[in-house]
Amino acid sequence: MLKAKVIELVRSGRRDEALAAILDAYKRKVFGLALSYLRDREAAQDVAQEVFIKVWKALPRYDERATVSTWIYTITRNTSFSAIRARRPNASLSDPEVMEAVEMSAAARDEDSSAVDAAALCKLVDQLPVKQRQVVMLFYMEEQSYDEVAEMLAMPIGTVKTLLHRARARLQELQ
Amino acid sequence: MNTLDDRLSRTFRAIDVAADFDKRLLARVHALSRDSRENQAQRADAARRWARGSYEQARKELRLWRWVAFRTLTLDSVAGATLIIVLLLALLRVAPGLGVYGLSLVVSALAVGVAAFCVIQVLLPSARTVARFRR
Repeated sequence: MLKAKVIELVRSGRRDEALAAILDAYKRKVFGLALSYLRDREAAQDVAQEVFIKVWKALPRYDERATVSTWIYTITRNTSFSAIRARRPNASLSDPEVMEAVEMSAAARDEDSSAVDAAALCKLVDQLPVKQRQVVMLFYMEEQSYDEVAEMLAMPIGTVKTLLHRARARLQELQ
Repeated sequence: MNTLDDRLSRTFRAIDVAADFDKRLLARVHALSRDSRENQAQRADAARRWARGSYEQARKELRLWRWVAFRTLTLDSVAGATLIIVLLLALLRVAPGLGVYGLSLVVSALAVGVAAFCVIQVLLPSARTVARFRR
């Protein structure tokens, strides 16, 4: 659906509108994927911006054989890897920037003590191995969809399930 | 386990891009788009100027080459024709003294000379012409 719309808009020379359609559907996912790699909110925002700039530049050459999501997630992963190579080494999900964002979102929903809980959970998730941490973060960010997480991280669904199972068990232990 | 699921869900569902994300991105895209259009226009303008310059230069060189070739060919032709006439006249004077063998030898040499002159004029660009053209 989105793919057809994007192709039609690009063919009719409305590249900005095509980008807007992609942005609506993917900005949060792209940001989440970048954040799962970088663990730094500002860096993830920058990567997400870079990703959409790259998408905008590449739209005229968009290969119809690839789905929009596969294409965008590939760009996001590659851009995140590039950013990781250039970034500060010890970023963490429990960094003040990330915590502040989580707390602000929780506070906005008027949930008592959820900000504290979220902060504590972020610290626990931070202690998980990289892949487990990424799977946990994206799974709960993405409405608990195994398919979506598997596509985002370019790994089989079975692997996602295994990693998630281990992560949950580990978090139970850590609590 | 459900409690953990709920807590994780609450925590990570809350993560989202900054409020000004779209605004910042679209500003960057518009800036890039403007730069791209300006660059395209500049490139097109430069290409047009280059093509016009090349065309004028080629026309100038062609005119020069034609003039040089015409002048050289004319001068060479006049010189060659004069030389042939002088040789023919000299041949007519000495012809009675030559035998049949000597006469045919002189005529053959003359024919070879004329042929060589034609080949040089028609097939090979004269060194003088090329030198002038390059200058």
